[in-house]
Amino acid sequence: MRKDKPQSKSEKVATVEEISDAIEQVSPDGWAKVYAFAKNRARFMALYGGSVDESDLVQEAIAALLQERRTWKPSQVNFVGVLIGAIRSIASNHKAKSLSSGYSIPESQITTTDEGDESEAPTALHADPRPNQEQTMIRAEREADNVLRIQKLYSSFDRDKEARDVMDGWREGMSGTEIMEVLEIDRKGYETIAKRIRRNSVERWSKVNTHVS
Amino acid sequence: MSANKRWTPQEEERLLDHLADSIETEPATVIAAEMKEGGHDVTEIAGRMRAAALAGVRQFKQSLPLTPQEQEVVRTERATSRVQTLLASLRGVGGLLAPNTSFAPAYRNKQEDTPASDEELLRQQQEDLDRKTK
Repeated sequence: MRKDKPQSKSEKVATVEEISDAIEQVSPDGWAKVYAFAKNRARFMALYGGSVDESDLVQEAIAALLQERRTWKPSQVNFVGVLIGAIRSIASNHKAKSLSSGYSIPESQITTTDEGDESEAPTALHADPRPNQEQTMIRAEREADNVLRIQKLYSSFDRDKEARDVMDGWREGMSGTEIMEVLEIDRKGYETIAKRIRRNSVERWSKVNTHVS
Repeated sequence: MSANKRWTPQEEERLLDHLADSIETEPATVIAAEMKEGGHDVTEIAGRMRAAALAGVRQFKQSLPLTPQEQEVVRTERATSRVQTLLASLRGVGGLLAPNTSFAPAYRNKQEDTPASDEELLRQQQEDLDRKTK
């Protein structure tokens, strides 16, 4: 079908047959992880005008793996890891393309912070003054959906101050190390709290048959 | 820190990024267990993801140029299809070309075209036949 590019002894381009075999060998748990990650990245892409679901992302990731003829060492790298890497790359590229093409976050989504911190404003993104009716409707639905989803997750930690503090740190763009310093907790403690948040989000957000929701 | 103020898209992006990192670094068994605890059907989800992955393989294959052997197969299939279409159309035409074994319609059509002189002749012949039978 196609000629492989020159290979060194240590690297090998994955063939269609190898990818097909690898797909068949992924366990249900492995697919669950891919699903959770893809669902997360689909939501991320929705922030930049994307309208894909987790299945679209997995399909695109496989096609990209084959088209871009990436090297893959099955003995060293888990296929689920390869797939997640490809999905992450698709999502990042989408954001980059959206920004370079002038995609703008809906005006209604741009809110000023309580502190009036100008640095929080999306400097690279400008509100589109003339969205058409359909865009306005879609954006409004997404906005309502996004806000509701995040608010519900945040509210679910009403009685877990540690989790709220970590979420607040993420919200403000703090690194894990900064959060640990501010909250005076060690890495193990931070990771335990982060897992609680992730666990809650996975349980809440993994519903089937929801399109970018 | 932040109170119950509304989340901005940038803040949501940061949260999603942290959650994505957390999902990526966690073993698949743990993520699957969390989904099951949330009441999600992991078997169904796995089936959907596998189907999507296989669709990706098909998508790639369809984007490839055909090999000479595949081109030959496509040519043969096209030729076969054209011949079958041609034969089917000839069968339709065949009905029009077949001899008409029913004379009644032809007679009726002929009557319509019969000139008045012929009609008079036929009438006289009919009268002769009627007299003879009497």
